[in-house]
Formats: sequence, C-alpha cells, structure tokens
Amino acid sequence: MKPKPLQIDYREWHQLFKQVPDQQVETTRYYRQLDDAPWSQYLFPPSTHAVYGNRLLRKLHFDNSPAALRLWGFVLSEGERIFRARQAGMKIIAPMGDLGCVTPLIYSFPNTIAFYPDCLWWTPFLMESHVLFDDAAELGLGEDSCFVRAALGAFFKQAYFPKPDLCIGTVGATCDDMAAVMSEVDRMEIPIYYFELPPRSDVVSDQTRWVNFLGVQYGALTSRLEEVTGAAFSVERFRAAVLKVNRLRRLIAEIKKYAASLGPNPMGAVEMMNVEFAALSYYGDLDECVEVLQDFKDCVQSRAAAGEGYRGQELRIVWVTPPADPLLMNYVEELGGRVVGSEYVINQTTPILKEEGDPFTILAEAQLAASLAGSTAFRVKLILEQLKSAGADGVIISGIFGSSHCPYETIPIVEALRKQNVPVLSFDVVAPGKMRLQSQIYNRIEAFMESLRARKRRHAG
Amino acid sequence: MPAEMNPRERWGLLLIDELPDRPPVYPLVTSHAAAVFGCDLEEYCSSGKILARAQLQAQSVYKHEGLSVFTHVGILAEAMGSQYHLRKFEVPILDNPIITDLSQIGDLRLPDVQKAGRLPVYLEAIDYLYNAMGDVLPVFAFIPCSFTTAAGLRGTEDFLMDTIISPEDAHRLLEISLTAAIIFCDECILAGALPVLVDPLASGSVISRQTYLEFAFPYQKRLIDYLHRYDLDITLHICGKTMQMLDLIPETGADLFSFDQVDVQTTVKTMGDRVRLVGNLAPNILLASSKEPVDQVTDQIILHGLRNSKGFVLSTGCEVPIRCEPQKLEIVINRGKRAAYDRIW
Repeated sequence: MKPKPLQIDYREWHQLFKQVPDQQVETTRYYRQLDDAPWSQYLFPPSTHAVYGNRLLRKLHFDNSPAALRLWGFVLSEGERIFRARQAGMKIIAPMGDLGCVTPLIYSFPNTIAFYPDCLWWTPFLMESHVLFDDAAELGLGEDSCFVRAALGAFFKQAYFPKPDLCIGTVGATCDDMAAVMSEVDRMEIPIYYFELPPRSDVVSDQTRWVNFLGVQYGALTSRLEEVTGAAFSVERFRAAVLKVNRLRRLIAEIKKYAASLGPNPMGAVEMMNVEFAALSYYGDLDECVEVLQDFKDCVQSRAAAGEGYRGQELRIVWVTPPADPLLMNYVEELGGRVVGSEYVINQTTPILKEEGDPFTILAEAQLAASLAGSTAFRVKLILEQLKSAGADGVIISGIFGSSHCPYETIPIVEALRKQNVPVLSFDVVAPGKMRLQSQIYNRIEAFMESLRARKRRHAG
Repeated sequence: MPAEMNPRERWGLLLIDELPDRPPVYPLVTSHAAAVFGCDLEEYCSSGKILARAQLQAQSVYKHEGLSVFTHVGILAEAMGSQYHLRKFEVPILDNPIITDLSQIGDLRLPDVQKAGRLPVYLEAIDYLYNAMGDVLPVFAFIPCSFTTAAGLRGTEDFLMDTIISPEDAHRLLEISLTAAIIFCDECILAGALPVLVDPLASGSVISRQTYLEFAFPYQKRLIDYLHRYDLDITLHICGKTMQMLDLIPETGADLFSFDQVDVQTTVKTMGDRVRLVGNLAPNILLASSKEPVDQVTDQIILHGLRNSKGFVLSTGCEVPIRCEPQKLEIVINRGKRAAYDRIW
C-alpha cells in the first residue's frame, strides 16, 4: 500500500484502513518486550479515537501514508499505553516543566518509562472539551494561566494517566504556569522531586558554571530514581539509552530537513509536530518510538526522492510556538501554506548527546540549549536560521493564551523579524469553543496568506 | 478528594482494564426517553433530531451514563425493504417482511445507509448527540446482528423454519444481513457512536443452543471481528434467557456482554474473567405495577457485579419500559452511583 501523497480526513482513513494488511495491523505493537500483551496493537485509524471522544479528529486532515497512520496511532494511544505500562509492572516517571532533557536518564533505568503531563494541554483541544480546564479552575487555576493547566485537571481527575511513581518538577528558569500546576499537584500527595533549572547564558564562563550546577542536580535526581525504581544507575544502560535517543533525535532532524525540502511538501505540519514532540518522552516507549519515526522518515525520504508530495502548498512558513489547536495548521495548509521550519520551545530535546564522557555533564550541556531559559534573542536566532535555510516566506507565531512568556517574547520576536523584512503573523490560540475569537484568527490567517502570496508574486516580477 | 469522573472517563478506564471510581450506571434508556421528552414514538423514531433531543432530556433528568440511539431491532431489515408499523405508544412491529419467498433472496440489495428507511434517523441523532455531549458522554448505536435482521427480512417464524428446512437460504440471508450491519456500523462509527450489537432473536428464549451455534454465533463473531480490527470495544446484548449459551458468548469476542434473564453470580462465574458484564435489572421491576423492591434487587446486582474481575456496568437487562416509573429508575441510578471501587491512586 503506497498511495499518492494526499491529506485526507478521518472518513477517508476509515475506508483506506480496510486496505492495510491484517498482518500489519496485528504486528504493529508497542512494548514489544511483552510477548503476550493482547492490548498492545496501535495501528488504528483516527475514526477509532474519535469514537472515544477525540472530536477534533473529525475535522483534521491526515497524511494518507501507512507510516503516518502508524505515527498517529502511536501518538493517540499514549494515554492507554501509560496505564498498560503500570499494569505490566513498569515504573512511571513524570517530568514536568521544561524537562524533556531528563528522559534519557529515566529510560536508562530498567522497566521504567516517562510521560510528560504538560502535553495534556492538547486534550481539551482534541476532545473539544472544557472538562480539564474546569477541573483546574476548581483548584484555582483559571484562564489567567496557560493551557498546561489541563494537566492539573488531569491529576485531579485521576482518569487520564496512572499515579506516577515520581514526578520531576522544575523550578528556576522554567514555565511558571507549569510551576503553578506543580504546586497544586504537590498538595495531592504525589511524590515530586524538584529540579532547579538555571538560565541559559551565552557567556562561556557562565556555561561552565551552569553545567556544573546541573551536573550536581542530575546526580541527586539519579539517586532518587534509584530509590524509586529499586535499580542502581548503570553507565552502560545510560549509554545504550543515549544511543537510542540520539538515533531518535537524528531522525527528527532528518524528517525536519525533508519538511524544508524544495520539492512538493512530503508531509503534513501536524504530523511534523507529532514527530518533534516525540523527543520529550518518546510517547512512553522509546524503542517503538524510534521505529515509528524511522518508518515515517523512510516514507518522506522516498517521497522527496521521487519528487512526490502535496500539490498547491507553495507558501513556506516557519511556525513559532506549538499551536494547542492543530486545526490551525491544517487551515494554513488548505490556504496553500506548508510548514518548513519550527521553534516549538523544546530546543533542549534536539541536541545530539555526547556518547562518551560523564553522563550528567552530557545531559547538562543539552539542557542549556533550552528555548525558554534565556534571552529571546536566542529564539530569534533559531527562527532566522530556519527561515534562511528553508527559504521561508513568512513566520506564524501562535501564542498561548494566558501564558506568561508569550506576552514578553512575542513582540520582541515580531520586531526582530520585521527588521529583517520577514512577514510575521502573531495571534494567541484560544480555548476550544470560543467561536468568535477563533473566527477572527481564521480571518487573520487568510489575510496573511493572501499577503504572502501577493508578495511572492511581486518578488517573482 | 479527587474530582468526580465523568461518564466518558469512567467508561474509558473500564475499557482498558482499570477500575474507575465506580461502575458506570447505564440503564438502557431508549424509547422511554420519548416519554420523558413528551413526544410519541412515531416522532421519536422518525426524526434524528427529536430522538437526540429526547435522549439529552432524559439524560439531564436521570443523569445516567451513556446516550442510546435505538429505534427498533428491525432497523436494517426495514432499510432493506421490510415494512414496519410505527405506533405512537408502542415500539414498531414488523408488518410485511420483504422476503416472502426464498427465491427473492437474490433480489435483496444492501441499503443506502444515507437514505434508506430509518438509517438516516440514526445518523442524524448520533451526530447531534456527539456534537452536543460527546466529550463527556459516550454515544452508543444499537445495531442488530445478522440473526435478528434476517428474521426481520423474512418474518421470524418463517426464518426459524428456514433454519431447519432450508439452512442454505437462511445462511444467504444471514450473509447479506451481516454485510448490511458492517456498512451501517461504519457509518455510525463515523458519526461518532460506538456500536452495541443487539441480537434479541438469538436469545435462548427463542432458539436452541444448537441453532444459536450454527446460525447466530458465527455472524456475531464475524461482526465483532470486523469491529475489533478497528480496536473498538464491543458490547453484545442478547435479551431474555441466555443461560444455555453463556459459555459461548466469550468466544464471540465480545468485550462486554449485556445480559438479561440470567443470574448475575452465574454469569460472573462463567465469563467474568474474560468479559465485562452489563446488567441486569429486570425491566418489569421498573413498572408501576411491580411489587418487587427495586432497591434490594439493585443492591444484589451491584453486590455480585462488582466482583466481576473484568469490570461491571450497572444496567437493565433490556430496554427501560416506555412507561417506566421514573422514581424507580432514579432509585436504580442513585444506588448504582453509591457503589464504589477502591481508588487506585
């Protein structure tokens, strides 16, 4: 099954799924180390997940490749997977805040997995629901904090993931909305280990100091993980985990490179975002996640080699800050755009980790690449680099309504880009159901895309 | 204190082998919703919007934990040409089956699910309910299995005779009924509902174990297999007596078994390690005329149902009667909501 690249809806995937061979459905499984798990299949179409309440899936468009189906199936099964992990006796660790960098350490412990509660921020959008926001509000976190407050609602509900054996909370140079979530979680008698993040600095002497500072913290966190998992830290296992994580990060970088290729667009922006966010906690299964991304990379690589992709998406966009509402990306694509670069505030998950040397130093150095832990100039630099390398026509910044960093960062980023003569559209994504505000955003996207097209025409003479 | 789970969350946990705070409470409130809403059954069965609004009205009154889209068990047979007689205050009944002579089987055509019979009523109702409450309440579409549809195509007595006199023709009817069920299930899923398979005529109250094994079971299993390929959790509902085929039910692959006139303890013992159970308050207890103590009967069901290792849903054994005594249904629901599992967190 190798269809011509298209973006299709959930209805079309439901029918197309009939052509996926039974054996492929049967053998596509997570936690492959568990031979007899009857629940571990995950190659299912979006319609399956829509029936269970993920209502946005009825509106989204998806890539029509089996590799994309696998990616979606893997992403959408994460919630169940974390429960199954506990049923299978695994330890569950939940890093929170800007901590995607600790997951290689977590996965170096045997029978231990990580999940990232912050990512629950997508759930209200996916379900088109206020439930988790309402529950967070009951505990005091209302619309004055960003969408990560959904994670608090989920902790309060006890229905979205099992009780973690340990949460790793961040303090210091980190998301303060998530810090507010953590303070409430702390009151729920859930064990939290606090980890202090220093700010990123471009001064070399500071860099050394912060690496040392972080190294000490990684040492202490490791002791705590030893207690929780009952297993001693092993440098060999750590190196094995780093090798896998590096393979995963390289795959993400390669896939991103294909997103920016000059031929027709070989993948959807939402699929690319799913790929990039795999780097946080590997959707709860590092080994399978690597295979999923490998499959996806092979697919887009072969499309790029054959000059295949979606037609009519000629406006090249760098997307800044992940949109909690992925439908916005589909809309940009419908209007002739494609996402060729991104800055999703998870830059700490992108560096290739050193494969030799002191484990804690390796992790510390990667941590200091974090997007949000220092000056906005760093993010501007990341954006400009991608604009240039991908030959992008413009930038879309989808701010997070209620977040504390967006109001401070967005205007400086917009100004810096405009100084470089880069067209920029910035707006705040609003919570599900705010129809009037959403329609205003749609209008602005339309106008922006029209102006980009006109500009491109002018430049072409 | 954790926040109270909503029905969607409760069902979600149950279906992945996790214990929710308590079992879902899901009496089969179908045509009784029309009485709550104040419409007659002709209207209820003819307009998806009315059906949906009646379901929402009933749910807002009783606060039960699932929305049920169901008109009558002949929905597919009707869409394929059988004539059903709608009545204002009773459920529809079969007037004229489409197959009066076995030679007509070859002329049967699959229904156009967007147009035929009352199928669009279902789809409109599902879409309405899913958009209105789908984030917090599961929407269930009741789809008849092959045996029941074949009986609706042929007339029950004639079809039962066919199973003896002309079994090959019976199987031909069952095959086309299965295909119709599959294509209609697909549309219901796409509209946002989880299919609940109903096979009231495959009940031990109607047929023998042998007839079940030969003519009902294989088609139930194939339909469930089809839906399992999509990873959907499937409830099989069989009304009446099922004691004689209880051991066969798990072999259909059903994830949940909605049972009626069988003892809860026996059902738990027979299949409780493999199948989640949904049941089984006798609907007649909900009538004003019943003298049975609804509270005590409910408590007994909960007591034994909670012991089912694969999970349990408090329900009625069949549809809540149209003229159900609302206070009695409230007692059932309230007692169900007081039941609790030990929290895992």
